[in-house]
Amino acid sequence: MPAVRVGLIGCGNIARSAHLPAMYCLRDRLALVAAADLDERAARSAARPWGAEAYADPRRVIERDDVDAVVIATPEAAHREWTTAAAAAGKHVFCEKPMAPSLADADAMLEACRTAGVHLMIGHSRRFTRRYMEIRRAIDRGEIGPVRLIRENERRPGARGGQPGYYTGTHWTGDPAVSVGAALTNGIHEADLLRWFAGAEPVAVFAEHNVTIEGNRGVPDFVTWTVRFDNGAVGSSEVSNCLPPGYPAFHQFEAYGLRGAIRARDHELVSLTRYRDGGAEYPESGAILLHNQTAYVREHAAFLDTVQRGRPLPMAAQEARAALRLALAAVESARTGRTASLVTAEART
Amino acid sequence: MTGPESGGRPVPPLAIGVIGAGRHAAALAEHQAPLADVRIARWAASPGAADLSAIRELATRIEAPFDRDWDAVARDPELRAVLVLSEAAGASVAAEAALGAGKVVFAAVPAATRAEEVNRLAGAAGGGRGVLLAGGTIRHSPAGREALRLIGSEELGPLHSLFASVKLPVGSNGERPAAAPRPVLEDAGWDLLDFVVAATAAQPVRVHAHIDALFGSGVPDTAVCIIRFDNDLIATIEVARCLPPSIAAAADGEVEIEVIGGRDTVRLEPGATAVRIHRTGTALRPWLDAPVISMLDDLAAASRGGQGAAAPPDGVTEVRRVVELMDAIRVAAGRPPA
Repeated sequence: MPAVRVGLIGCGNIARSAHLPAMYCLRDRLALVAAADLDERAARSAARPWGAEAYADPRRVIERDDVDAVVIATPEAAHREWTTAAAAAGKHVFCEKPMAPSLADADAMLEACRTAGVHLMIGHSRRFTRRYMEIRRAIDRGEIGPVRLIRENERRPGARGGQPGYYTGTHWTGDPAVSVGAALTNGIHEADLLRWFAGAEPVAVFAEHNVTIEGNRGVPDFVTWTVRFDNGAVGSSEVSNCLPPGYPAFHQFEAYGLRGAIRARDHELVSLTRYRDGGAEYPESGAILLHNQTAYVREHAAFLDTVQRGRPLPMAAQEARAALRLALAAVESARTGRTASLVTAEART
Repeated sequence: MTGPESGGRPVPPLAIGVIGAGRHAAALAEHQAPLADVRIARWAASPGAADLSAIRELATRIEAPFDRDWDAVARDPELRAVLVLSEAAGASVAAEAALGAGKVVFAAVPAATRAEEVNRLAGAAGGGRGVLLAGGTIRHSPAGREALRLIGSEELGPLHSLFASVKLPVGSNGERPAAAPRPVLEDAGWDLLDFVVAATAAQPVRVHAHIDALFGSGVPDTAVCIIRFDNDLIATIEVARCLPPSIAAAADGEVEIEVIGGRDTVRLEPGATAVRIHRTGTALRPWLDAPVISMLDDLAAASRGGQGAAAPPDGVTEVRRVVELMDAIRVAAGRPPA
């Protein structure tokens, strides 16, 4: 089976740290033939190991006849532009999360790919993370009964001691013109996981957000929300980006069902524990099931399976849109101070 | 038994009266003996208490005279201080009587559950020489005290967020396993809100809450709340009766608190055998002694004209803030205030 010829658009942090290494792991199935970034040096750096061409203009990647698929790893504000352009050129699209900064953009992306007959996959890496895959399987097997209460907290280290970092003026996440803030940058993961594990659709969300990082010019870098689902379950998340380096409680997931609980809490140094009627189970105690790199390899492999073999995507792009809808409703709630209805929010957008 | 020395002379231990039992009674009986500066002179049952056997047994164990008449203990002219361990309405009634008699009163949370009760406490304290101290299990635990010290010292920098969770075992009923189920906020919410109020002097400006019966108990067993304060501190509070029995030490419940500031973060985390406080870069601090020891220390300090470690001298204001916060949560969840 011939390798899929890939063009990379956006060669910043997530491309360098996640996508390029994952693609290298799959080099027998894909080949990077072109890379583009507004910072041409970043594009050259990404392209060099592959012997690929580098451009400062992403359109040059899309125009190439030898590109089968594009990987879009830009800030979300540019996802619509490059996805619709790539689809119009007949390229399959793998786009980093969050899908878009608005539902209108997301819908335009869906429509463009549908019209062009190309695949669109949104890179929700947690769906491919062992920890969360195991949790989903356990819930599907009914090991804890119907899920009633879910929490996923996320803590990330903030910029300290003058070091540049997320949500500061030196990074696009800190640019109010480009970034919606933590609800999308990190919180989109939580929105997706809550919905995925609840197995239900959100009907209402209430959120508060804050600017907490020194040097932040006004982009909310903290968000907390609570969601009610249409099966009665309640989900909550709190995302903070200003923790000291090395803080132990990086991720904290808890799901409580009518017959047990599943918890995966980094600060306990236990990857995943199931509490069932028969007792506690530690399937891989001490293992780092949250290991990001393998998650990115899995998601790229899934995309290749679809492009090369016609297999259905493990996570349809509509699922990413649903997570976006929840996260945007949380943003609306935080801005207005009122509960956002997911029933009416759809009609308004 | 003698107390701390004053001017080279030993100070006699402070004779106190105790009213009520509640969840702190067993710990009080267990830990009272080593206390050098406090002597339990009388121990009475709570107002309206029907079963006196348990408290009688505890009083007998520590050789404290048991008394059926709580009011007589509250007004005993020989006693300078009264520790009220009653729960629910009995606490405010006993505390009001003792305050009216000019006592220094420590009332364990909840000292009052309704605004009218707080008003009566304020009236009783204002009309005489009475002083009210109040506080709950979390605030007076070693970990809670240390966390509050750090928060108060401003080492954390400006506080951004406070995450606080109490989880109890499924089907449990707090300290009353034989009693009819109560809403989980009544069991665990007061202690948690008492800690929140102790952590910030700010006022809530926006409250959102879910209060639900999610786990089949038929009464509200889950409360999830988000509170924005007027200094932009955001508190996320979760109280649920959701722990399956296979979780280690589930019967003890779990307390988890995380206070994130601009410079540092304090985390009290549940462990298998202890509640620990984790502050980045420092060692874990185990939960070593009973909160009632801290309560007694504060009561003794206030009775001698000083200030304790955890309870501020204006307990009425603190109790009022806790009651108002609880009412705001109830209203936000579409339920009537108490």
